[in-house]
Amino acid sequence: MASLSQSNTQRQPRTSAATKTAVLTVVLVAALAASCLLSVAFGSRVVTFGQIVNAFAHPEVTDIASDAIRLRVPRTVLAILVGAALAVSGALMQGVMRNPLADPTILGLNSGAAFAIVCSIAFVGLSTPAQYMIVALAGGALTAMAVWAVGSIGRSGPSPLKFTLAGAVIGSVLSSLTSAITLPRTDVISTYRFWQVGGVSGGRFELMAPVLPLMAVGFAVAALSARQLNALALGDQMAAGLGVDVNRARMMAWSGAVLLSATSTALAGPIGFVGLVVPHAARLIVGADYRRILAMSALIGPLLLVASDVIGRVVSRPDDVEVGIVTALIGAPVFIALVRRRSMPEV
Amino acid sequence: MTQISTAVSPTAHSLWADHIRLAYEHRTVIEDLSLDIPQGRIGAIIGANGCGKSTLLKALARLLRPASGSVLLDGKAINTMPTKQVARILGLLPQSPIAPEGITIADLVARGRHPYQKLTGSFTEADELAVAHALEVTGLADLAERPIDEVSGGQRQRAWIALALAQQTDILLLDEPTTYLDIAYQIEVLDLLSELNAREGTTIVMVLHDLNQAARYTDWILALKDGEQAYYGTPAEVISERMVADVFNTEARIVTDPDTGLPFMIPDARHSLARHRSA
Repeated sequence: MASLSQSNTQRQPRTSAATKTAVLTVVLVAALAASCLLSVAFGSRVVTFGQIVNAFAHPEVTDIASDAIRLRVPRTVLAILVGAALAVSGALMQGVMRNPLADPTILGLNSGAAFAIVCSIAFVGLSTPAQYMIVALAGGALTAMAVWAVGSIGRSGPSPLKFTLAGAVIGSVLSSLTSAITLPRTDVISTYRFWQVGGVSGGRFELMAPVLPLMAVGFAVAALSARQLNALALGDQMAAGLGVDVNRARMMAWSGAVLLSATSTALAGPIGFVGLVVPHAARLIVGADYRRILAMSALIGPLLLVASDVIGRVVSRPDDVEVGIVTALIGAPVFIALVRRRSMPEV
Repeated sequence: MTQISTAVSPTAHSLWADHIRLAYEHRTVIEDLSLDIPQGRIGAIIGANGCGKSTLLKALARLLRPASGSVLLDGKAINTMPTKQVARILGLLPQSPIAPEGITIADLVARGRHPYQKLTGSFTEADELAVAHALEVTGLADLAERPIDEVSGGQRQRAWIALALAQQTDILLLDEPTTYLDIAYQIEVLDLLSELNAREGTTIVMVLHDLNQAARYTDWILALKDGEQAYYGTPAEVISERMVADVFNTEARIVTDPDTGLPFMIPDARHSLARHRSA
């Protein structure tokens, strides 16, 4: 049958591309595993593999090495979760906005969380990590709703361009307000500056636990949005013609993106560049299919964040450079390289 | 009003605009229009820029809900039907769809299968066959693995039509499918659509600019003027000097196409006539 031989000839190059992707995936998984091991082993005190095994095998033992390991495990887990959440969130936002530059920072969500934190420090006097988490979560979510509302004004409903502009405008307004509150008040600045530099060093399981269900919902929504994003990528009219409820699909993917970015900001503070850079790297590896882009982002994001965290600990031993600073330092040149390698898609 | 005969197959679906008023916010584009799309036929909507052609096509494709009246698909109001169900009956190729960066032709065409897939479902054999068939009839099978940004304009437009074919709908609406293509590609696309209509009985409605192409490739033509139906009928009935003057506000001569006996329009280009006469 003609159509059968046809599909055979097409499948050939597909298979070789699939093999390449599979090999790369295995390499990336191995790299992530290695980074996690290094993340537990490195720090102001370097522990051996034997000590790591020992610390897990005998949880009752309390020596310095075992304690260090038990602190570094939740830190590593947090880096994995936040890395995956930020990367998937960025990929969703880029899909919703059909804009390759969309990410939680550019769309104003981090500014919203920061503004909420500053208000809570300056006017309410909140001070514990658990309180900051709730405030950051609420700030991010409220900002997301405002961006949606402003982006939907006008006769044609929400459009990618209006959305992006709304995010940028609301973000810069909130940043200005944050500066206005913090600049005259050194007491607020001294507390806020620790939150402002995103990092995973404060990772503790009991702090993460209450946020995890929300993050899990975010990942589930992301997975369910993938096919709709594939249709949206063809333009709103094409997507509607293919049977996608465009506004609902956009709202759903946006909700998932907001849940993921707000929860990771609540857990680790604002960490830039992961949401922006990782989806582009994923696209280079797997192509234009959002099902694969999201999955690959969930693998590369943790790798970037865990590796950055290890680098931050190694370069300035015995101190830490927080991961938010390292991702920006690594992310900027990587992003420039990505842009140079391939022309950016149109907005 | 002229009755266009239909070519009804037992599975054919009907599409009918019933006294629709189309408006964006406060601006009314079409006041009151009814149109029974002849089943199994090819039709064109023509008219000057801004007359409401694309708006009408959007309403027929359920993308714009009429302010009053309704578009009926098989007798049911199209805006109340599940949109995915509509997408298995009626396909739309908008004027400027977006090709995601780096997507291959095969992957682009595969997205036409969206209405048939479950939320998390994977590609079935029926999906594979539909995509392979669409690639074959559009002559793109050999280019299937090529990124769309590396092929010619005509091949790209064929890929979009292949996507619509993979959607396997009985009705296909196209908004200016030949715009931006050179003359060879324009003919190629129109021939492809004619073959589709002849082979599968697909009902086709397209917005066209070129009156001579509309005359040659369609069974019926609707000429809109300021959002109202100005002329409707077979090409021979609609294409006339009076219609061109009326609808497009320009002079033209209509001669008889020696091949088909259909009307053929020659725009009245006064300046070039004057120049050639004096030379």
